Amino acid sequence: MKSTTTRSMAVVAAVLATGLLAGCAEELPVPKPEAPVAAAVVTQSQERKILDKVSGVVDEANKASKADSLAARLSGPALSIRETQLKLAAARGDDEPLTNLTMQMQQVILPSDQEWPRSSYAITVQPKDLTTPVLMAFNQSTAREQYKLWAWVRLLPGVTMPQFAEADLGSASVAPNDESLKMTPDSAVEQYASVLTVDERSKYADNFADDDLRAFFREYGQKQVDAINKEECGGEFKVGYERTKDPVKAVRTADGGALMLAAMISTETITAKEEGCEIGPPSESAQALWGDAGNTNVVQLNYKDVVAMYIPPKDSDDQVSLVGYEHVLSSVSNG
Amino acid sequence: MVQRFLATLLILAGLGGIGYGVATATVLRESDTVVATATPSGDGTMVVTEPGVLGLVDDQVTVRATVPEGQKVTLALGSDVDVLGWVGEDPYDSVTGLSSWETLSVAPGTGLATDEEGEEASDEPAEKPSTGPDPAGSDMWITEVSGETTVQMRWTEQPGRVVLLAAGVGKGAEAPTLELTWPRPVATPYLWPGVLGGGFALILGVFMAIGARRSKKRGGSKGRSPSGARTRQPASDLPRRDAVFGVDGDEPNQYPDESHGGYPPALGDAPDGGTAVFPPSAPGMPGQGLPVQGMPAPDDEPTQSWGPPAPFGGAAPITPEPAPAPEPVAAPAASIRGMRRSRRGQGPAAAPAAPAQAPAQPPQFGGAVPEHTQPAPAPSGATAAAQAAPAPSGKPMTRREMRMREQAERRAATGTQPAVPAAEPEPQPEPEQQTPSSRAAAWRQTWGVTGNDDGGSNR
Repeated sequence: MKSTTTRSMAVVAAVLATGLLAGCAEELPVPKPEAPVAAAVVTQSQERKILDKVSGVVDEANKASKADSLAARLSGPALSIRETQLKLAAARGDDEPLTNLTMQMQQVILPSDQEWPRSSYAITVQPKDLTTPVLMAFNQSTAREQYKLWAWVRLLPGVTMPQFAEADLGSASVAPNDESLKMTPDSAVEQYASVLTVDERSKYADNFADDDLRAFFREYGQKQVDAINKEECGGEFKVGYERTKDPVKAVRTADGGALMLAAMISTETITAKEEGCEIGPPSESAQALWGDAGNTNVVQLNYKDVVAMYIPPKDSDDQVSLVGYEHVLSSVSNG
Repeated sequence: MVQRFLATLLILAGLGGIGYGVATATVLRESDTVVATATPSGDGTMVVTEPGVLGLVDDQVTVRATVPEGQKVTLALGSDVDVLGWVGEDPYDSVTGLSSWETLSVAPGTGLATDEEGEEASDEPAEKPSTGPDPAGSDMWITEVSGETTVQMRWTEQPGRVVLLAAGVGKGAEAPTLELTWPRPVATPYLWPGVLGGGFALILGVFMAIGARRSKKRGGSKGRSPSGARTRQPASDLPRRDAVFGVDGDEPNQYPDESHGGYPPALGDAPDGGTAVFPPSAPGMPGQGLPVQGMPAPDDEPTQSWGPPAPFGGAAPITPEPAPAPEPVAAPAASIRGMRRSRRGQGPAAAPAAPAQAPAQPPQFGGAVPEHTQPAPAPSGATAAAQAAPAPSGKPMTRREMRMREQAERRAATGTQPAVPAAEPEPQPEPEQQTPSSRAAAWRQTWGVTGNDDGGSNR
């Protein structure tokens, strides 16, 4: 019995001793950060929130028919074009000039660059009115800025968009002077301006596939000229494109090429060369902006444009091709 | 004396062990949260945690940022790239980890120009108020919260390099004081060992104390010591056994002696079970020169409390019905079902009387005997028991049943039913084996737990 007691007491003592030792502190944990991984710097859920915020601002401006609040979420060409559209819509008294900017997206192209500015792109689903989907570009110029809609284009009917990296991985932006492409984005927009202006006669015409925009001007110009010539007034139609100071935005495609958006301005000049002939605004929108200006033999229409082009990689046999454009009448004058 | 001392020691150790075990789970228990605070160095208006700091202790973290009364403060979570990009060139404090369980280590943000703007602002806000930029509302934040004076946010760590940006906002802003709170799982590994070990020591001590007291008494009043009866037991062990048996009323050796004292046959049967039913008789017995165990009145008291059940046992014998004679014959044929039923009956009724013996009898009665009458066969005693022996054939017998049968046979052989005195030398080892089960049975009875052996097996 004694030995039993002693033993059990020893056990109790041991238990007590271990218990007291347990009071001693554990080691302090050290932060174990995950290694940085290559991923988009904007998650899809963040992108969705951004889209909702931008969309909210756009909708509000539509309702109020005022552009004042747009600057919070629109910038660059998009801000300028939307202001123009709202003005035009107000002049016409309807919302026909307003591009449908419903931000329901079928695809997002998220940035992978950690530096600023960062750009993301998105393609809307086909609108109910069967117009073509819209490609939008969003830009965060600095870290303390918000993402803002920077530009958009309506995609050409039947156009095939290039492939992009997985949205979660993100796509790298392409510098305006990137040399890995068939031509740098900067030169692409400059050359294309030439091509739009003089079409086939441009020395760059071979670099670009023919496209709907060029075809549009050929047809439209011909129609204007025909209408004037019907009166034997010696019709003439000219279009002039030039790029704006806005930098181009380009993003890498899966094949190593780039999708590029660039802002331009354009001018259509319709002239009736014969003496005594007078012409008026050629469209309802132009009429709305025309106001009470007197008719002369010249109509000049100024537009704000955005073009989106696919620039293939350097070693590709493909041509640079237009994938979408926006062409918004901004002002009309009688010469 | 030594015993008493040891007993006291054991009791104290036991109480201490229990106390300590409980204490480790209550007052001594470590806090189940870790709360660490970062006090900004005074440079700048922003505090940024390094990647991994938020998940330092646990995935769940509660962040609280405090700025001087009335000022605005914003908490934002974003990827480290986004947050540092947002902070940009401004001075900030970086929380790099824990410097103790209560303190976060803070270092000036790296790669930044030394800008005293924030410090100056706090020292002489009137002269050169700085304006803390407000990170609230940025598209880059995963989540954010803004408020005055104190804001709090909860965050469950997710994959990625998520860091916290806490910023004092507005004129004269100061970097907020950060407090991170994590839950921490706290184990209480000493609770049960402490309680059980302590409890063991305590019980040991209590028994020892009782034993010590008894042997003292015994030494004074009686000449015959238990060690005499149980030659096999070392003297030191006896007190404990005594105590156990005393409490249990389970001392087998008691009965033989008692039965000698002239118990009625009916009751006399019980002693085989070695149970305490008989204690009722004990009051009458004291003077009879029983073994010491019988004597200590206090210890036997509990057994006397079983008096009430005894009437069952006692009454049964009186009932004439179960002409036991035929029964035994039928017994062999008894179906398992019948046997079980009889056993069930025994549980509540006969058990108090003789849990150990009970199993031996069921075979005799087969299914025919009403449950309460079972004790009746007792009078028929030895013969019945002897005949019963074959009955269980074909049925698995429990060890207890086998023991009981053995005893019954022995008894039959001697011809005297309850009086087993002759068997003295042999029973001794048996009671030892028996004690666990019979003791358990006794406990069950004492505490009103109906035998779940019997009842349970039945259903």
